[in-house]
Amino acid sequence: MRPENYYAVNHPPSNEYELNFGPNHPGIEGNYAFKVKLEGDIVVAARADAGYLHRGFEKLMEGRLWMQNLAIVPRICVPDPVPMEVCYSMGVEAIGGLDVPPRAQWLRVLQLELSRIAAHLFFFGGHAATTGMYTPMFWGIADRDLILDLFEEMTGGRVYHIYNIPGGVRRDLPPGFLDRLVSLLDYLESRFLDYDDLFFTNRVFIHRARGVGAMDQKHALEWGVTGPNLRACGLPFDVRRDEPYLVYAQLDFDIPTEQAGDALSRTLVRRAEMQQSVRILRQVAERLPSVEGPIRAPVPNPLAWNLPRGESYTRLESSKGELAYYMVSNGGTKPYRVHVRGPSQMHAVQVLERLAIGSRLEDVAQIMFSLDACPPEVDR
Amino acid sequence: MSDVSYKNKGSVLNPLKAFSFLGRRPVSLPLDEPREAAEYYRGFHVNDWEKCIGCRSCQKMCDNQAITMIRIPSLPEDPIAGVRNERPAIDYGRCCWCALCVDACPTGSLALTREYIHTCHADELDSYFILPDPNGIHNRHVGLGWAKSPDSDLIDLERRPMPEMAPEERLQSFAEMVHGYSEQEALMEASRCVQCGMCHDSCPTHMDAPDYIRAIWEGNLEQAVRDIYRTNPFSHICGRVCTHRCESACSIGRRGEPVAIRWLKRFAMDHVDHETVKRIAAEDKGDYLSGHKVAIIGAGPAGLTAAFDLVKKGH
Repeated sequence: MRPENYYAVNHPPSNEYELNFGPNHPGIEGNYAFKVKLEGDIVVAARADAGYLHRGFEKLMEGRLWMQNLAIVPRICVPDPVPMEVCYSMGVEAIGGLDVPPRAQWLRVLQLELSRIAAHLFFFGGHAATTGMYTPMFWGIADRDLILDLFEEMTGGRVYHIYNIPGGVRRDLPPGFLDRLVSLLDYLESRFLDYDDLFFTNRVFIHRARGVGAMDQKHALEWGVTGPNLRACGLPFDVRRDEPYLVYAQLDFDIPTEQAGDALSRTLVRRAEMQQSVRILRQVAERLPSVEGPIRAPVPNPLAWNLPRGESYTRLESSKGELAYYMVSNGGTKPYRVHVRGPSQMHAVQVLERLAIGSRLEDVAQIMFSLDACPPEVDR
Repeated sequence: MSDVSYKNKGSVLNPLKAFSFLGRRPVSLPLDEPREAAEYYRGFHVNDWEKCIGCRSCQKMCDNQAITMIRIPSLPEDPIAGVRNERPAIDYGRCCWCALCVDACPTGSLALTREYIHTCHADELDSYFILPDPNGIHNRHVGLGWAKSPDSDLIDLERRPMPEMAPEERLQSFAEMVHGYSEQEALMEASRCVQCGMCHDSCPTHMDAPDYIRAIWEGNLEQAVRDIYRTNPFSHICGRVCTHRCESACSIGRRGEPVAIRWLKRFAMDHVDHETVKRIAAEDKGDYLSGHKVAIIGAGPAGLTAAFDLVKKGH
């Protein structure tokens, strides 16, 4: 029976209806809602809502010591936590004027590239799942686990490594690590061929992904797109090469690009990037033994450490795009302000909202995943 | 990667590749037993109660406030030796296993193990709040994981050397043989302090050493002098000839050289001019005059300190 105060509302006749993706939709890495308005199965309007994962990192950091923040920064992006640690540490080093010893820089590159492959495997598995292919998902996640095993050996933590500190890193490599790294790289390269057969050159996938969620280079630049998503539009921009940090200037690698800017191109760019990361890691494994010396610069007692007054803006290339930390110190033991430029903020909000319009319902999850947006980065 | 084109039909024999997987190791395998963790794994804590002195550095370093210090009456408490009967208890609902507590532990008693599994029923949720002892959470000795290592130690164990006059010169002179720290040396030395307060507890007059060391580190020497005068009007002298029980109790001294608390006190007193010291010493003297007189017998440090305090109280 209707309650007495209920009045039916007359809507104008329309074929439109609303559908919520998320906040628990498996087509996105984390709690994030994407609300689409559909006419038939064509999207006519879309709204991103990332607020389900707001943990207030930037504010939390203002209440913690410079060193303590290391324990929370990896949580800003779960699938790719290393760039967060490294970028934060680099920012603190820039304000404090610390020089990172060469061996620590090589160890950081080693982690960054391992993390990039792990994040791309996660992406690859997830993207395959959005197109209905579940075997690549299991493979991607299982092979990522082998990288996590290496991380566990190297850093003591599988997912949140908390291995970098301002000035360097916290442990040297365990004995025999580089041999295990090389054998894992061999294994991964053999697996990439399997992935190609199963997914990247699979006609089912190509038909599904070609032309879906396409953007051109001009719009990509206007919308603040970075990283693999920008390179898929034909612009070979990569912070590692264009503004080298750590020891990337000494390494030999290519910047893979594609032209079409659609879901297929974005996927293929990441596939090629995994190959380039393997190439970088092989160079690291070769050269790291000859780089000797300390693994961290001495820092004062973390309980009393007050950085000089100043600010820094540091950026690096994460698996999602250009990650940056803007930090301000007012001379205290805690940051005055830390701002995180999460690359996914652009990809998951303004870009996704525009790309989804005009696409079909079944492609929405695919567009979301092909942008590889990480919701925790959006609403820090 | 082979050429990507939807026109590339591939070979009809491609599906036969599936048979090659029959001979390969499966990608995922079921686990019968929990696998052994890596050498530096950061699992549940252990704490060597013999070594732990209850200095609370782990509590201060913990970025999630997961550590609470619990008083254990059965353990010895000895302020002179720098031992409190408090031990850290960990709330695993908050702990994030960053191991900064281990790296900031002055004694090296705290460590993480390779143990990583703990489950319980809903009515045993308190079991996530544990007081780590040498036996660990489940009394199973699974081996240490992330433990104290010089690689990641955040405690500075080396004291800045004090410049002194050469022995030949000393024979010829009555000048003071200890030169005192320079500003840079004093800053470096002051930065080593973890503010545990063991020095305060062991000092006969309970000087607020953590406060004045922090003030020196912050470059606020007047505040340091103010903190010193709160309990001791003879800091110029005590900064030179005190028997420094504080340093015997200093928690950094458990593994390394204790913080040079006495020399830091001397540094603060020497680097603030005499007029300022006089002004600071008289700061908390009220306008009140009691009209009484107090006779003090003896003119040693105790008698003079009593006179100083009584004057401030208006007698």
